[in-house]
Amino acid sequence: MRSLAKSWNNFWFDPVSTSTLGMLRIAFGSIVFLWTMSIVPDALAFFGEDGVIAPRDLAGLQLGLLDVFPHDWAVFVCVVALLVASVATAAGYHTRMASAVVFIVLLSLRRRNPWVMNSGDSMLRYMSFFLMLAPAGAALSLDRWRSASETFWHAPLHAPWALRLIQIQVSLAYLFAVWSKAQGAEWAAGTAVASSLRLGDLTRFEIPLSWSESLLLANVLTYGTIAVELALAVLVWNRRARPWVIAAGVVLHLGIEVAFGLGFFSAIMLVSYISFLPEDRADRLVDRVSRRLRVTVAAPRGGVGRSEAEI
Amino acid sequence: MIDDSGATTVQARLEAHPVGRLVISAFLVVLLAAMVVSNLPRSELKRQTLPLVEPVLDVTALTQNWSLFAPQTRTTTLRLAARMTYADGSTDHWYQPHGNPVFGPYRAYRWRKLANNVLTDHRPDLWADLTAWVARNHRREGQTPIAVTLLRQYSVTPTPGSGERVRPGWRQDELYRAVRPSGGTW
Repeated sequence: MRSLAKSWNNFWFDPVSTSTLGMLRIAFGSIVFLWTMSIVPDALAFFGEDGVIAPRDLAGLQLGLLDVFPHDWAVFVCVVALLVASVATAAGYHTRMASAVVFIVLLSLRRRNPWVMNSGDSMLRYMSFFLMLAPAGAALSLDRWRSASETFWHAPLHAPWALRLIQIQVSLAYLFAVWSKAQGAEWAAGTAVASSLRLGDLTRFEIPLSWSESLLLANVLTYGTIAVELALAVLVWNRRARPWVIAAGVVLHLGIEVAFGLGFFSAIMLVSYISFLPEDRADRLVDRVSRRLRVTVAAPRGGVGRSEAEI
Repeated sequence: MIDDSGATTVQARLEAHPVGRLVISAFLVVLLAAMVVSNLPRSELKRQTLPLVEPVLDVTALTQNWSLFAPQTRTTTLRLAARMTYADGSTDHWYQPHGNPVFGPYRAYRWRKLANNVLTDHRPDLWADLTAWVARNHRREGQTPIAVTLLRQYSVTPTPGSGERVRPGWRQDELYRAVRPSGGTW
């Protein structure tokens, strides 16, 4: 019992460097900004007073800003707030408040019109919730610069429980995706991916039927997808296997991104992988970048940049 | 107050204190339970446990569904369309937006998601709203259409390995027809 409690404490509370969290925050804020820009042309159609779906009563505690203020001006405020908050999140400026605004607006948009959101949008919202709970502005942020500019490149240590929640969310997503696929006849027969490649409304380009006609290739793609997703659910927790599993996940999502028009789904899943970057690696990466920047900044002042960097 | 830099914060002090860890641990257990229960397939276990975690899911919006292209993959390519009929008897069509293959999907996927919900999940409660929106946004000489018909357009895709070809053109079903209300506004 005592060892179980110790393992629990180690996993959730043993302080780790916040450099991984800082990198994740920068990528997350950037993707939220792009996501918001993409919704601007349709914001009123999807969420406005006279939108494609009329405002409706939601059950229980499912409140959102646009349910309280079902007006076009509120949609405008939400979109502008999301743009500003995404930039602030990426920059790490008043990070806690910025990430809270991102979560509240994403939640509100979802509550107003869930019929236009896909799994990638859900993942964005989950990550915003977990990042809001994390000390995401502790490293690589303007907040860090404002409070301790002389040690800007040093990432303080913090309990990683919010980061762990993101990791578990990623793992659960793949685990239940595999579970769902296991119930499907076409996934069992090994033709599901080839069938999906034939759906003209889902694919980014028109893919010739002959490309998805080979049953051997169809089997490799279908069973390969299940194998990679299962690895991302389970083997990603093994530190030695992790780089290979993540690499396979990157290949999977790049393939999905090229073949299918699923919006930001693959980009968001790839951003979520940053949560699995070991903190010592992230620290080394930050260190390398900081050295390079010091060289770049110092060199024009009299050509002594390299020696300064080496010091 | 919580310091954004994460330096010495209430949160950091809470995380370092045994009681604080206990509180956070309880919060984590509740969150994890909600995430797992939300993901469970339809079962007696889910039926009995979902009410327990529903308030958490409602507040956090952690409700999950990872059935991507599963369990069954679709066998038809779908397109949502609407036929507008004007007072002079002329007609026009609206189709869900697509955009170019490179940047278009980052906007059009939401229209496709809406179309899928309207067309494949059989959500008749969405039809009247969508029809009215189409009518309001397709005025001709200041007049809205006198009638709008929602169309489910589709083409059946052959099974991989079957050697069959796709039949050219779209087939279509009429989903719903709405007539302009007597007041003249949709």
